[in-house]
Amino acid sequence: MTVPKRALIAGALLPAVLLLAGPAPASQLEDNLSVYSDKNARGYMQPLADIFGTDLNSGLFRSAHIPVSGFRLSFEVPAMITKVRDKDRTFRGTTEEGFFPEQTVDAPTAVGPGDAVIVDGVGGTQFAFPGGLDLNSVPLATIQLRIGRLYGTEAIFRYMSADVSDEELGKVRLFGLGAQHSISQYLEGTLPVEVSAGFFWQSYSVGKNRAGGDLIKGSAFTIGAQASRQYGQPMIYIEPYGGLSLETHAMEIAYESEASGEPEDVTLSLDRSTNLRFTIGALFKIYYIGGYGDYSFTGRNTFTFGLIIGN
Amino acid sequence: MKAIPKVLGLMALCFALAMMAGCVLEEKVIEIVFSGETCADFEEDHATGNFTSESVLAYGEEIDDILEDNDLDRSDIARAFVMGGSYEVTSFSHSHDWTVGGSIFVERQGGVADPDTLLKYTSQSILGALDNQIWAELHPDGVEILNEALEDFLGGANPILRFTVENGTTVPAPNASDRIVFDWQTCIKMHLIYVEEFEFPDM
Repeated sequence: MTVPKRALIAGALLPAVLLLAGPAPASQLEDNLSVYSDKNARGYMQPLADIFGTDLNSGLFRSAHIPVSGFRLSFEVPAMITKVRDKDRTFRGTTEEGFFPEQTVDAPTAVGPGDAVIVDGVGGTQFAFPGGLDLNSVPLATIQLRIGRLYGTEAIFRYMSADVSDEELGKVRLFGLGAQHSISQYLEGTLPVEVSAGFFWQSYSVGKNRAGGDLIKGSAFTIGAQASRQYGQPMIYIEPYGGLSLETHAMEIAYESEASGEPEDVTLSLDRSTNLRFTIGALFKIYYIGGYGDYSFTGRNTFTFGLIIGN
Repeated sequence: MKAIPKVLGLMALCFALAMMAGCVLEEKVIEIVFSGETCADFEEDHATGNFTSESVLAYGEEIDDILEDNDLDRSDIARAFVMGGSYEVTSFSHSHDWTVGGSIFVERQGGVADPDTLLKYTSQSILGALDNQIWAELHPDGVEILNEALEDFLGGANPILRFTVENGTTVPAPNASDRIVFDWQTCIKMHLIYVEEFEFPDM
């Protein structure tokens, strides 16, 4: 009887892990998920998925200053960090089939404490709820391209692709596209700040399952409005900005569970998270190099920093 | 306007510090749990309802295989224990069903202790258990033997277990012209825990 490690997960954490820490934590989550059936797996993974979704929808919109025409090309590297809340660290886990009597306890989520929680059953049997990665925050870094302008509109692209050494994880892909459009051009200087609106859609996948489908896949979407004002000269300036947006994220995991005894393919659609995001921050540009930092609140706290190379 | 270069310099410094902070890796420890299952097989072919059968299970070797499948060996395991037990009929083809009742005992092969009860089954339909894993409440004495064997395994031993079925009742009663013939197995599910350290840019 084998316990395959194909029961993948960490789709949420994986891009961050790949870029920042290597694939080890992802494979650890694989093992931990395999002892869980649908309900416990959902409780274990949902906080990590929600936090990753919050990261994904960060670092997209800053300056609302978009001239109606003129060439714009910039390469951007945003790094996002969403803090883990105390209530993200545990979930109400219930012992799996085959363990008597059934018990429900506070068990670690994927971002929760590292120690397993062990409960006693009849006849000296025991059930172990796996530990989590013990994270205070979940980071994500990616790259994106901004190109324009046409009728006061800029297009934004985000792309990331990486091969993982673990063949079961395979390839990780992230692709996103969106646009930001100047609203100020219609207001003819009636406001003291520049105003724009934008949207961005993203899709990602991680690895392949036995059937050849995606082991993990998900999507995110955000739409919102931004306001900013530049202080300084055309090529050297500082620009405070703020934004309000509505965002959503969904993730699906196809893993192999051994919770019920026999290996069983489980497709787990985690609950879609929808949040209102408020962002405040500032950017600076010195000719063709710039940087920015902002804080977003969606019920969770997210800090974003980034580099901008381009005009 | 003169303050802008200073503000920009301060922001650049803050940005650099933030990016540097992201490079600080924090050591993390996670207890990873995975499950394994070992099964003892029985072949029944009897003309009486009161029958006994045995199966020997190379417990240590089976667990070694489970660990190997997970790229681990026994030195990696911090803890292991029995989580549950089940039985299942794997082969049965007969013109009518049977209902059976009895016990499954377990003992260490080569040990000095008597067999102890692992689980009991009552009024169990053979057809109802065909390809259907039925979980049973395990008895403390049997679990103790299994957990001791697990401990010995982690200590370097290769325990071998002997499982014995003692079936007490069969309805309808079999006879020479209507023998009860089926294959089944009892399975022990265990949780194994190993500890792994990793570094993560946590802030």
